[in-house]
Order: sequence, then C-alpha cells, then structure tokens
Amino acid sequence: MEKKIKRLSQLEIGGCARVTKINSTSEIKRRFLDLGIGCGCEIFCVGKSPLGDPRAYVVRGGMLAIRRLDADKIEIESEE
Amino acid sequence: MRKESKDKEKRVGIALAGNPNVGKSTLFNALTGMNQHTGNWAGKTVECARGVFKKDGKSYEITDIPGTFSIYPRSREEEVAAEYICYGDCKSAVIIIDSARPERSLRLALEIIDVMPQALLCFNLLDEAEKMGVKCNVRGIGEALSLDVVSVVAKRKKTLAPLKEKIAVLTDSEAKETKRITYPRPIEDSIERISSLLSEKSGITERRKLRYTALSLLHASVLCERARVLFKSALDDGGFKKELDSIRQELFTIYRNQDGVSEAISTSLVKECDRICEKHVTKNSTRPTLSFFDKLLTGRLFAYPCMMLLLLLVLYLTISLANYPSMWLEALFAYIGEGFKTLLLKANAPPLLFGALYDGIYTVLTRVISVMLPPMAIFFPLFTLLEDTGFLPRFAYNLDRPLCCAGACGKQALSMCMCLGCTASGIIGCRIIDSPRERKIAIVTSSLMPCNGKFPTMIILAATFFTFGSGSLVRLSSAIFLCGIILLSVAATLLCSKILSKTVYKGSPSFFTIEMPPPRKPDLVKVLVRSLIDRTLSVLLRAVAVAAPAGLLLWALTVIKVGDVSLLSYITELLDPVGLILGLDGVILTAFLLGFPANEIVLPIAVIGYCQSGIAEAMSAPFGEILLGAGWTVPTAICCAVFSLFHFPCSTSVLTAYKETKSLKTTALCVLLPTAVGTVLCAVLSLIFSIAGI
Repeated sequence: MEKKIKRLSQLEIGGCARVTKINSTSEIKRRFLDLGIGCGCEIFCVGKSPLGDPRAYVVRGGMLAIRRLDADKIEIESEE
Repeated sequence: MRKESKDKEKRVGIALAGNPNVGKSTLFNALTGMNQHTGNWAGKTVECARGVFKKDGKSYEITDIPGTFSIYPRSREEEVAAEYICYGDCKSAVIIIDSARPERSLRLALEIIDVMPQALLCFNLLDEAEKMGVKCNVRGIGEALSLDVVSVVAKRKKTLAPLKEKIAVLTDSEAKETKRITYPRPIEDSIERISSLLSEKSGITERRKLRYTALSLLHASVLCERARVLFKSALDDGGFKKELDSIRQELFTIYRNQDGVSEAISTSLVKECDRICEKHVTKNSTRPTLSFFDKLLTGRLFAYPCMMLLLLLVLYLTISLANYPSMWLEALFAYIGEGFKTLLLKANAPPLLFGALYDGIYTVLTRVISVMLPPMAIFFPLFTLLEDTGFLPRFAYNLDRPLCCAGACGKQALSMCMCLGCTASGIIGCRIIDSPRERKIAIVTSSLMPCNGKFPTMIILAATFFTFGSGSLVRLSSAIFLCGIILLSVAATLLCSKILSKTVYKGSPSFFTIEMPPPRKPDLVKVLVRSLIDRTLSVLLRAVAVAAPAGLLLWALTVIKVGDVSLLSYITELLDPVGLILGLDGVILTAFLLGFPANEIVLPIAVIGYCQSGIAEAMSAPFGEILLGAGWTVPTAICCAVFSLFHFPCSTSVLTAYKETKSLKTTALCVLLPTAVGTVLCAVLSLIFSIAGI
C-alpha cells in the first residue's frame, strides 16, 4: 500500500483516504469533529458540485459537502 | 392516597435529543400527534416544542429540541438544545440514534449521559441502515453503556408502542449509575475542583448543572444565558476566577494550551465511541458512491437544468391547479355576497354602514381570498414535498459556489427558497446560517425574492401582458414568466449580497459545510393534507387580519372627499409625478404604499384606484381588463412587475427581521435595500422605454 501524504482537497473522486491531521483553529477542528472528521477516520470523495467546488465526501456513513478552502486544512494519507 | 395522586401526575422533562435530521420531529409527531413540521434537511427545527402522549392513564410530556452534534454549542440552535438539557426542567433524555450513522449519534449520547444519566437510547432509521449495510448490535451497545435501548421505525406506528413503554419505565425508575466517560485524570480532577467551587459560591448542588458548567469552562466555550444567570455569584467572584485560572494554567502545562485541553476532552469521547462501535457495529465494506438521484441533481451537466425544471414544474402546477379553486371561491362568495346584501338592506342599514361592511370589507376580503389563497395553498405543499424528499441540501450544494463568490454561503440558497413561500419564514430560516455576517446578508436580501403574496400579481400581469396562445400555453408561458422573475431575483440577490459583503458586512467566507442526507420518501398524503390545511388556515387568518381592515380603509378613502374628489384620488394624483418617473403612475404607487401590510392587497388597491364606479364593481371585474382599460401598456406592466419584486418588505417581514436581528441598522437596510433597487431599476427602465419611444 503506497502511502502518500497529501491534503483532502487533492483526493480524487472515488478515492479513499484516512485523516492524519487537521491544520486549523480549534473551532473549525471541533466542527469537523462534530461531523465525524477526526484523526484516523476514513473519508471517501464521491463527487463534486457542478461548478467544481464544494466537493461531496462520505465520512462515517454521512455525505457532506466541504469547500476546497476547508478541505485544504485536512491532511490525509491515501490508501490506494 | 399519595400514590394515587402521583399516578395522576404528568411526567415532564423528557427531552427528545439527537443529531440533526435523524427523525426526531417525525418521532415527536408520531408520539404526540402534533404537527411540528419536519423536513429532510438539517436545521429544520429551531425551537423547542412540547407535546404530550398518554399511556395507561398517565400522561408524558416530551420536548422536541433542535438537533445538535454536541451539547457544547457552536451555534444558536445548538445553544437551545444544550440549554434545555443542562439547565432546563429536563429530567430524562430519549436519545435518538441514527442507526445508519451510529458513531456521530453515540458521541452526542455519551456527552448527554455524562451529565444526564437518566437516558434511553432509541435506534431509528433502521431501514436506511439496512440499505447501507450497517448493522448495530442494539442490545450490545445498551449493555456497554448500561442504558435501556429500543428500536423504532418512526414511520411505522407499531414500533412506537415499545418506545412508549420504555419511556414510561425510564421516567418512573430511579436515577441509575450509568457508565460515564472517564476523561484523563488531570481533567477529571479539574472538573471536580471546578464543580465544588461552583457549588460553594452559588449554592447549586445539582450534579448535571455543575458538571456541565465545569466542562464548558474547561472547553472555554461561551456559557449560555441561563448558565450565566444561575452561576452569577460564582462567575463574578474574584476568588473563583483566580482559582479557575490557576487550574487552567496547570492543565496548559500538560496539554500545551486551550486547544490541547479541548482536544483532550473531545478525543476521550471519540475514543470511547469508536471502541463501542468497533465492537457492536458492523458495516459492509463496499465503497460509497453517489446515488442516481445525486448524480442527476448535482452532476455537472444536469444539475442546473434539473433545478430550473423543478422550479418550472412547481410554478406550472401552482398556476394550473389554482385556477379552478379560484373560480369556485369567487362563485361562492358572490352567492354569499348577495345574501349579505339582502340582510343588510332588510336590517335597514344606513348607506355608510352598508358601504363600510359590504363594499369595504366584504368585497375586498373575498376577492383577496379567492385570488390569493389557491396559489399559496398549492405552492406550499409542493414545496414541502421538495423539502421532505431531500432536494434542498442539494440546492445549497449546487449554489454554494456562486453564493460564496457573492460573499454569502450555500445555506442562503435554502433561505431564499423559503422566501418564495413567505419572506418572514425565510428570514426565520436564516438561523441555519452560522456566521452572523452571512446571516445578516441573507436577511437583508431576503425580500428580493418574490413571496407567495407577490405571485398572484405576477400571474395576472403575465396572463394579461406576457402570454401567448391559449389554454395550457397561457399557463406555461405564465410559469416561464414567473421563472424568469425568480431568476432576476436570484441575480439581484447575488449582486446585492456581493455589494453588502464588500461594504456594510465585510468579512471573509466562513466555514461552510452541509449535510446531504439520503433522499427519503415522504408520506405523500400526510404531507399534502397537513400542509394544505396549515397553509390554508394561516393564509385565511392573514387575509382577515390584513385585507379586511385594508378594505375598510380603502372604502373610507373613496368616500371621504377633498374638495370634490375622493381622498384616494387626491393621493394618487399627488403621487402621479413620482410614479411617472418610475414608469408607473400615482395609483400604482399608492397601491404599493398602502400595500405595506401585505403584498396580496397591492393589485386590488390599484384596481380600486382605477375603477371609478366603486369598490364592489372593481372587485367583481377581471383585474386584467381593468388594467388594460386604465391605459396600461407592456412597459407599465414591466415596471410594475419589477417594482413589485423590488420594494420594501411587508410589515410582517420587517417585524420578523427586527425580532431576529434586534438591530435597527439591519432592519433599516432590510427595508431600504430592495426599495433602492426597485426605484433605480424602474427609473432606468422607464428612461430606456421613453428613449426607445415605446
């Protein structure tokens, strides 16, 4: 399994990854946590909106929209 | 004897808690038979609602609270939930677990039972979980947390009986010692110390309040109003503040800073959650992909056309289906009207009273109802269907990019949709927007969208001036015209949002995310019937409250004379020059001004202004013909449509805006912005028309 460290915004559609770090203020970190995005959790990118941003991700069973600006803050290791 | 009276007591303080969009309100409705509106998007419930159900002769009062991810609040809605559970009269909690997404629900459950051990876990959405291949060992989870559990499928009444039973058991039993989260030692110690300090200074001994407040202080989250009042003596005390500070400093040496402390607390929770889920939840390992529904609605090619088509469909159905009820109502009121007239004549009513009651109140009121009620009564149920199915979060998702470029956020798309129904409810809906700056932008621009009260004006204008063909072609072209109007509104909203975000409400884009729950099949019949009845009733009430007095006022204006013209004519002549600049005339302008209470009465007022033969005659003739007879041309209709779209909001909206923002500045902007847009646009259009010689 190749391990590449990159950001969530770089995860291609159909890709799967694990969250390693969240680089943001604690408030935003807590918001991510609320939605289930915490260190070590699995996240999938399933699509993007018609104009490209935000993208749709599935995490802990729930589908969410996350903007590129915010996805940049999440470091992942892709599991492909 | 005492036991008997205890049995007759109503059991109160049962909170219905859970993440947003897990079916709390559906369950609440099913249990209590009340009509809290549910909608398939997070953020629908914004207030607590109370209802009662009976079992075995006892009654149980449950409180439906807004969905929340955590009881350490991040937004106003979350504050409402936290406030009730931690400081309200809440004695026990029924926590709804989303069986398809148990980790998130369990996290909230753990937070709640940490402060409120008297709880029951209710696993909902089992059918969805099955579809997604997620299986929860319900009993295992209950045992792991030492809590009672029950499974329901909120839509099926049969599954409610065990829930009611378990709630009864829950409220009648003594408080148990449930498994709680143990935070790391230093944090637990700090919680103990802060709790005892709080208790000492304020005299409060209830564990739930102390523990929660201590944790809130450790999280450094803003304490809600209630807490600040309850613990005032502690929070204001110098000694307490010093102790709290030193406790914090001690923790900072271990966890680096405040962020570290908060993270340590959250991580313990999440770890515990994960531990339980690993043991008791199985998922199938297929990779999630977009459903066909989502591919269609959010795909690059089809997203915008789909949304437009949906809008067109809703408008076309509204216009077509509203026709017949309108005609029937008109016939009905004409019949009753005759009877009313005869009654008044028989009672020898003086002409002034006759005029006031029949001409003023009756004709205007009934005309407003028959023309304005059917479209509203049809639009709202259709919109509700869209809501309940799950279209709205997809709209916000699709529209986030343009809204973000305009300085707003995707959730404004949702409040804009609600404004199509009623501007006031759209303004209340702006609560789902977290950032205060973006919320204000949404509120100020909300009346740029046409509300249901403006639709009938638009439809009549469309039918008279902008259609072609006959029969269904007329209705289709009216729908297309309305669609165009809405697109114009959206463009204006985006532009104004951009301007506001660069001037009055400066700031950068906030954190935005929206959940897109899987589409759910709404209970068609229930939704249509309930929404129809709700809407019809509220429109009727509003009509009576606004149209009746308006009719009376109008009648008075036509009867009171200034010189040898009626007061109404005097006013309209006075405003004529101003009206002409805007491509309108004095009558239309007066109609808009007098129509401040509600948009529905604008066109009726204009028609009365034109019709010299009296109010009753005006109200019984087709409006389109009267307008044509008064010399309206296509440019006039265009300017009227534009001004109807962009003018000061109705009185209800202004009041609501003030109540929501408590700011005179924002409310003033809310009034001035659309008026300015309308004035400028109409003046420019009128200039163009006169230059072009139309």
